[in-house]
Amino acid sequence: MPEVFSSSSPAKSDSPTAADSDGHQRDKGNKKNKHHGRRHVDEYSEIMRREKPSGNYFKAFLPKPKNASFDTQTSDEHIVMLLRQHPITLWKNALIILAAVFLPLFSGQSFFTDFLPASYILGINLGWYLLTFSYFLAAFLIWFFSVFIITDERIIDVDFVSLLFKDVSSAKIDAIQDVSSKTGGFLASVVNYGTVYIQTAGEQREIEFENIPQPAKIAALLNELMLEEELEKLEGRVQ
Amino acid sequence: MNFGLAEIGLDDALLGFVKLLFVVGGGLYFGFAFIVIRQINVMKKTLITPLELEVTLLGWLHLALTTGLFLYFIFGL
Repeated sequence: MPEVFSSSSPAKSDSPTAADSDGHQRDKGNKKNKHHGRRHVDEYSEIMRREKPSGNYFKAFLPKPKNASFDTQTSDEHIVMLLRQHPITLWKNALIILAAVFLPLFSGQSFFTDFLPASYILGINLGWYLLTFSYFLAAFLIWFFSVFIITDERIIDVDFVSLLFKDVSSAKIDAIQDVSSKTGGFLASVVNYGTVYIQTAGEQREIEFENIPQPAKIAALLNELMLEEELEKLEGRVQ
Repeated sequence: MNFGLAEIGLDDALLGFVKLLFVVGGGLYFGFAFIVIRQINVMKKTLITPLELEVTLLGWLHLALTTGLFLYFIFGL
């Protein structure tokens, strides 16, 4: 019998598992979820049991994030994992920003100095650095708020394509049909990031968690969540 | 009929045109900074974290810098 099945038996669910520093929070979760017949993720997920709750919101891999929520979250829904694209994928943006910062310094006095007064040149330089700051701000905001959220009920892909375009897609865990992960390329292999492909039965046929850290672990976690959903149905814990 | 064009040098006319471009560009940029503020509010509602204040401050800093540049283009050039 797979470990996931054996660890998710109802008899075990009442006994606390010791290998977790977040016992207090889990107990709170247990109390809250008993009302809804849903168990805390630590009780059935081997992966999440090993992960400590994260409070650092600049990370790309946040298991059980503290004090985080999202707009469509229901009262009995808990965030299991919050993911972003791996920071290393921002190297192109970083390169552009570095080039933009140093370009006026290298260009020296040769830019526009022939026919423009000093006040205009100062204006151009100020505008240039403000544009660079805007580019940094846009890149940061898009990275920070484009998240992949895994709750104990759903997966949500919040995608800010640019500062002005937002694309949100979600699927219930029990609508997931297939999960696969792919890691490709030198950089992805070295720092362990990749894409998780989630086939669903919903309107949105495929949801992709692109360039996330530890894709194999996330795929395994999703499989555990799918198994738990099936167990919930079998044991009649679904409302 | 003389509209006084002869008194205005070509350099001044060119600089005036460049300044107009700067002011129009600065104005558009100023509008963009407002949109950024609005979009940050949308983003903050989408994902709620304790870093809301810091992100908001970044947006307002951006707007303040853009305002400063716009004013410089109008009055400083």
